[in-house]
Amino acid sequence: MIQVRISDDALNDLILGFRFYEAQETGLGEYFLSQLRADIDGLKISECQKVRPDPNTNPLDRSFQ
Amino acid sequence: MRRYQTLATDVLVPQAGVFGNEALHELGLHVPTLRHVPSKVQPLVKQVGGSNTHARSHRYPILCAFPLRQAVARLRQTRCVSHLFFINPGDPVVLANSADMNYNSSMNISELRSLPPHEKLRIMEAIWEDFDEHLKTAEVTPVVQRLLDERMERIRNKTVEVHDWDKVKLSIGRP
Repeated sequence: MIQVRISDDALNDLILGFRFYEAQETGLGEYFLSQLRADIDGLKISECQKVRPDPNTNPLDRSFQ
Repeated sequence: MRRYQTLATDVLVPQAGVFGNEALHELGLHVPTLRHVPSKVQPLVKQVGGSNTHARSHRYPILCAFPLRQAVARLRQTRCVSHLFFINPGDPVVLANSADMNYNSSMNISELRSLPPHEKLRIMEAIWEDFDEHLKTAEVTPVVQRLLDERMERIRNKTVEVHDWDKVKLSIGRP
C-alpha cells in the first residue's frame, strides 16, 4: 500500500471545506471529512491512480467540490 | 412542505406499450434520469424494480402506462403531473410533483434551510451522485489546472510543507 502525502495548500483547502460545511449545519463538516477520508484512503487501495493531477481526470473530490 | 411526493393513490399499473423519450416530449413531459429522482423517491423507484430495460437510452426508466394520454390527462387534472416514473410493465408507478422537479429553481434557499439535516443530506447525496457522472468526464478547467501546477511547483521547491496523510487526517477540524 502506498503512502499518501498532502501539501499544506491542500490541507488548508480541506480545513476551509470543513469549516464551510460545518457552518451550514452542525455535523455536516464532519460528514464532509468522513467522505474525504474515505476517498483519499481509497487512493491507497487503488494504487493512488489519481494522486497526480491528470488533465483527463478531475482532481476534485467526487462528493464535495 | 412542498416536496416530491409519492402518490399512493395514483399507482398505475403499466399495460402494454412502452413509450420513448420522443413520445414523452411530445406530451410535454420531461424525462428525468434516475439520478434526477429525489432521494426520497429513489428507494421507491428501485423498490418497484428495474429501470433501464425499456429506455432507448438505456438510462432512463421509461414510462409507459395505460393509455398514456389518458393517464397524463388524469394526472394533469389532479395537478400532480408530470414526472412519471413508470418502470416495467406490471410495476407500480411513482409520481413526483412537477412543480418540484427542478429542485434548484423551485425550492428556494429558505425552504432548503428549513429541512431537517437528514433531508438535506439526502438532497446533497442526490446532487453529488448527479455530479459524479459529470465529474468523470469533465475536464480540469484551466484555472484549476493552473492552481494545481502552482501547488506542485511549491512542493518541488519545498516551499510548502507536505504531510503524511495518515498523520493529519484525523486532526482536520480539531482545535
